[in-house]
Amino acid sequence: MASIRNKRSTARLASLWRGHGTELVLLGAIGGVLILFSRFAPGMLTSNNLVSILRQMSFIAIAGLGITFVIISGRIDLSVGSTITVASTTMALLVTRHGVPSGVALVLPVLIGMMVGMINGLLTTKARVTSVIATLGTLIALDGAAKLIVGGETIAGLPKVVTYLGSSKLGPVPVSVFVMLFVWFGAEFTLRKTSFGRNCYHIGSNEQAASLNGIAVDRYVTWFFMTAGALSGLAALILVGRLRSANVDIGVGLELQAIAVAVIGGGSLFGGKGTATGTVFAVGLMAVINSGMRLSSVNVYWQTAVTGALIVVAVSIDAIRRRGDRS
Amino acid sequence: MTPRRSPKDDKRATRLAGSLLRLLVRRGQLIWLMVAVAVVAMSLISPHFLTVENLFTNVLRQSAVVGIVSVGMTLVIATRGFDLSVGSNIALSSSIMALLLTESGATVIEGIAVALAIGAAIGATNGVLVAKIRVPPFIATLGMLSIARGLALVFAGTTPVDLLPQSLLDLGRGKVGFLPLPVLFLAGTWLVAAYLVKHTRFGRYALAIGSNEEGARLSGVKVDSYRIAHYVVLGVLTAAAGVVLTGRLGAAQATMAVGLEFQAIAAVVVGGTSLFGGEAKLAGSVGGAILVGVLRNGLLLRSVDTNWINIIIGAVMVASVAFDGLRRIRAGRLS
Repeated sequence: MASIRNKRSTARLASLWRGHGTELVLLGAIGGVLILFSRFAPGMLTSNNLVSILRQMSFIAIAGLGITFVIISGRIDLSVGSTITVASTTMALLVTRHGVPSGVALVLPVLIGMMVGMINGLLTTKARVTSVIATLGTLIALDGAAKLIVGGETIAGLPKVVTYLGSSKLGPVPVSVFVMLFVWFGAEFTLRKTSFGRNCYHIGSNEQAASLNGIAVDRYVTWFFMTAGALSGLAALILVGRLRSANVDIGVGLELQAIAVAVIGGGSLFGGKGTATGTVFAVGLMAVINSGMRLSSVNVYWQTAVTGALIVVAVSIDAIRRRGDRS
Repeated sequence: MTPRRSPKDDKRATRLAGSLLRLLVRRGQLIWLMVAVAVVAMSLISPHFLTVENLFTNVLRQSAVVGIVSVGMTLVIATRGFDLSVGSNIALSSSIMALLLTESGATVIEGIAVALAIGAAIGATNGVLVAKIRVPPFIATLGMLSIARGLALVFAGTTPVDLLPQSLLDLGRGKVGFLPLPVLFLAGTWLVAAYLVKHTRFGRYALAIGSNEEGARLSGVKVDSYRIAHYVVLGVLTAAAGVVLTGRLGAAQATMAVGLEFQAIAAVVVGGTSLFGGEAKLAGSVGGAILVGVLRNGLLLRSVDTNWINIIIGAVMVASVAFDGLRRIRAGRLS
């Protein structure tokens, strides 16, 4: 009797491992890094620091979840960072200088993001520009546009309503963390349970088959880019709220982090793979590493190098695993 | 009364222009027409543009660094590869070279050797990741972009390292006759690369791998080793371009050459080399680098905002890629 129960639980564990290997490894890594750094930096495991790690995570996780859709469908979006820049600076400028009501300002970043996503989608599907080049183009155009609109100044003095998502707390927990949880569960549900999500995997793993099965590939791909854009806009809103200001450097390099977390979280750049939970756990790992390095006063520039190294390692593991699958 | 042109003459002229255009497109030399148009346009909008002084000492000298990188980039793109790490490569190799020269008392030769070795190491890492581990080139080199830039910042901080020896500065600022030294370096790199592509296995195999990797492998080409070699050559050329750039600027800095990868890729793509691999239009890439240089310089002289210049160059690049896609669709090679 006992041995049967044992066997059953081993089988359950094995299937959990097969289905969620990446997530489990990441969870283990987060724990390991937390324990490791807590020996060098006594401030690591305090509740204050853990809350600040969660808050650090929120906007990257939201942007990363958006890009997860694009990556699962076999595309890439390099314009996330500059979308965040344009969405936040335009919104801040309109609400402080041009008397746009705060209610409108709340939806503005998301709308701007969706517009950028639509442009990316149309460029890749209709003009058939590779997504790398198309989104590299939008990156440059948007960065330039933001600099032309705001120049070098920092726009502050935003109304409370606009900064609420990024800087308020419910009890001890920042509101942005709840937003992150909401988007996380929403993305997980969408990817698992809706045809929108399932078609994302279909298109990513075999586009031709998807198209032959009557899935409107072009339209879906455009929507995936728009999802990424919309969530970038939401991330922008939170970031602006946290900093209580916006300038043209606000989103610089965020695309790299967003792509990194989607890939470290199990997303494959060949398409067809990736999960919302994996992405969020990858954000957690990066946030824990960054926090640990900051607390143990390592040169801040190591963070850039470590992010790059993590990407390379994660993608190499993905590539090696893929080769194993094929043979 | 002057004789009026008949509609027939007009038609003939249009047809002539049309066939000239087709000829240029077919031979992949459209880029020189674009350069010519850009030069005319720039001299119309800015009176200071069309002087010998400006064209040689500024435009060509500035284009040379991007040009040298884009010659190497052409080889890698010909194999259906990609390299986003070239800007960071320059930052890391040049700032370490500058630190060795100013703080450790290394000679110029030693400094340059170390810079080139760093470039080779970055290229080799990219190559192994792409060829052996089969990471998509785009993401492998994106990771490397971040690693190399981070290391450059760790070693050199954000302050420029200057007070470099005169012989190093001469590499970027010197002249032979009326030709700036960097332009001669570009010409040399171009000629050697053109020879490699036409007459050696190293170059021929790049095209073979890019147009049909499996076919090349089945024909006995050591695809992986050649692929790595192509990335190493690009890494070394990039580091060399960095040395020239450091000489021209008089200092190296961990934040230098940000976005250079974009300019180099734009030059290659605008020059007519397809991102789908199998082609290496070296003359086009050099022309592309000059086109980018002409636009940048001319618009700057007209004091157009740098951001607008980037937007314009980005638009030219995206248009070229779209043009390439359409050309392939029409040629039936892309469904």
